[in-house]
Amino acid sequence: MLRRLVHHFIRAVASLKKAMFINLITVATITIALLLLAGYLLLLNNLNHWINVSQQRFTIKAFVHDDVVEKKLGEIAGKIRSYSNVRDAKVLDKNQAKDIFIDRHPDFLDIIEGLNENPFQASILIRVENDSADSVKQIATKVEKIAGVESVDYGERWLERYLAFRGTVKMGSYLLASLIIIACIFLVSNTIRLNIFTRRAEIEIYKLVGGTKIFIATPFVIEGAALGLCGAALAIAMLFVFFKLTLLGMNRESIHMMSSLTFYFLNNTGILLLLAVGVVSGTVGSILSLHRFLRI
Amino acid sequence: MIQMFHVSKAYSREAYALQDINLKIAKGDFVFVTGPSGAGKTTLLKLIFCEESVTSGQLLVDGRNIARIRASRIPYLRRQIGVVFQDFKLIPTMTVSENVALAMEVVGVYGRKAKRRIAAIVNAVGLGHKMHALPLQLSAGEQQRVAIARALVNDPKILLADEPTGNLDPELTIEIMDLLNFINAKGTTILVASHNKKLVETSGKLVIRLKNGHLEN
Repeated sequence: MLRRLVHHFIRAVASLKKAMFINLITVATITIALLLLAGYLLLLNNLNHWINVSQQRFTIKAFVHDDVVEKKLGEIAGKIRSYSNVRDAKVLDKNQAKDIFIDRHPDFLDIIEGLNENPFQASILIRVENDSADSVKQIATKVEKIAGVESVDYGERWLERYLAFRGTVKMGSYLLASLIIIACIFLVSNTIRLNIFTRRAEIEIYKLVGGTKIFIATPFVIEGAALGLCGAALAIAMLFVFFKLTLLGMNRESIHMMSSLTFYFLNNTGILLLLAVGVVSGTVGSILSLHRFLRI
Repeated sequence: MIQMFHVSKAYSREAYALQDINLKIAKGDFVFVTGPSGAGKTTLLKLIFCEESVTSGQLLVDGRNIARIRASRIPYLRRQIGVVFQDFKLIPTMTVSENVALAMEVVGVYGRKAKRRIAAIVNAVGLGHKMHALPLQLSAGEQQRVAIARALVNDPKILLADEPTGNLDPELTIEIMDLLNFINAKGTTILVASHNKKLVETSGKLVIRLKNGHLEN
C-alpha cells in the first residue's frame, strides 16, 4: 500500500515536470484567484486589530462618595485592579478632577475659583483589557456594588451601539470571506479541470489497460493539491512583497498622520486558511474533473 | 475462451449495432472479425473488454459471464485482455518503455522486475534499440508494435486488435501480422477486427463475418 502511494507521488511529480508550461499557467491562474482572497483576509486582519485597539480605549469611570478618604480610595482602586480583564485602575482625587476640568474649560476658571467647596467628585479611571469590550458591563456592575462607589459611567449607550456595529461588521466580513472562499474554490477547481481535460487521452489509456478509479485518480488528485498549494504560497508571497512595498512607499508625512494605526500582515490563521483553500480547491477540481472521465 | 449466446447491443430502440450473435472462440484461436463499415466489428470487440455493455444475451470470457459484471470488476477483467487500436493510443509525452510500463503499473509491478519484463517484451517486438524514443520519433509500424508490446506485457489470455493495420502500408501490415502470428503460436487467443478483405482471405485464419449487426456465417 505504501509502495503504491509512493509510486503515485512519483508519477504525480513526473507529470508535473513533463507539462511544466501548462502547470505554470495553472499555478499563475490559481495565484491570481487566491490573491483576491489573500487581500481581503489582510484587510480583515487589520480591521480586527484596529477594532481591538479601539477596545483598549474603553474607560469606566467610578465616582466615589465625598466622604471616602484617600486611604479608602486607594483600597477601592486596589480591589478593582484585582478583577480579571482590568488593565489598570487609576485614582483621580477631587483636586485632580478640578484641575482637569479647568484645563479643558479655562473659561470656567473664575467660577470654579469663586466656589467655597470643590464641587468635583473623586473617581477611579478603570481601563479594560483588549478583549474585554463585552465584559465592560460586567465590570461596571461589579464596581457599582463596591462600598464607597456612588455611580459608574461607562458610556453605556455608546458601548451598546459600538458592540452592535462591531458585531455587524464582523458578521458581514466573515460572510463576505466565505463567499470569496467559495468563489476561489470554483475558480481554482475549474482551472484544474481544464488542466486535466488536456490529459483525457492518458486517462482513457489507463482505463483500457485495467487501471482502477483510485489508481488513475490518485496522482491527479496529488497534482491538483500540489498546484493549489503552490498557487496559494505564491499568492501569499506576492501579497507580502506588495504589503512591504506599500509600507515603504508611504511618505513620512502620511505615516505621521496615521501614527495611531499599525498595519499588520496576515496572521498564522490567515496564512493557513489560504494554503488550505488552495489545497482543497486543487483537490476538489481534480476529483470533479476525473469523475467525468472515470465512468467505466 | 469467448462465448456469446444471443448477444445483442442496442444504442436505442431502433439502432441495433449487434443482433442475436452466437459464437464460440476456443483458447488459442486466431480469428478475424470482418465486414463492411458499420457491420458491428468494433462493437463486438468493445463488448468483450467491456467498453460497451451487453443489451441482452450472455457473454462469457474465460468462463465468466461479463454481461452481468459489476463496474468495479471491469479493470481486473481488462488486465487479462490486451487491446490494440488502429490509432495506437500511445501517450505522446512518454517513451516506448514508459508506455509499455503503464500496463505493469496498474497491476502493481514496478522497479527492476518491471524493467526486466519491459525490456524482454520490447525486444520481442523488435524495438529494443528504441526503448527511450518518444512515439513521434517512431514510424507507424513501430508505434503499432509498441502498442502490441503494451497489450502483451502482462501475458494476457486474449488479445483484441481493432484494425491494427488500418493505418499501415502493405509491408508494415505483413510485419504486424507476423508478430501477431508469433504471439498466437505462444498460446494467446487473438481476435482481429479488419475490413481488409485481402488480408483476411490470405491469412488462412478463422473468420467471423458480420453484416448490419448480424452474423453472416
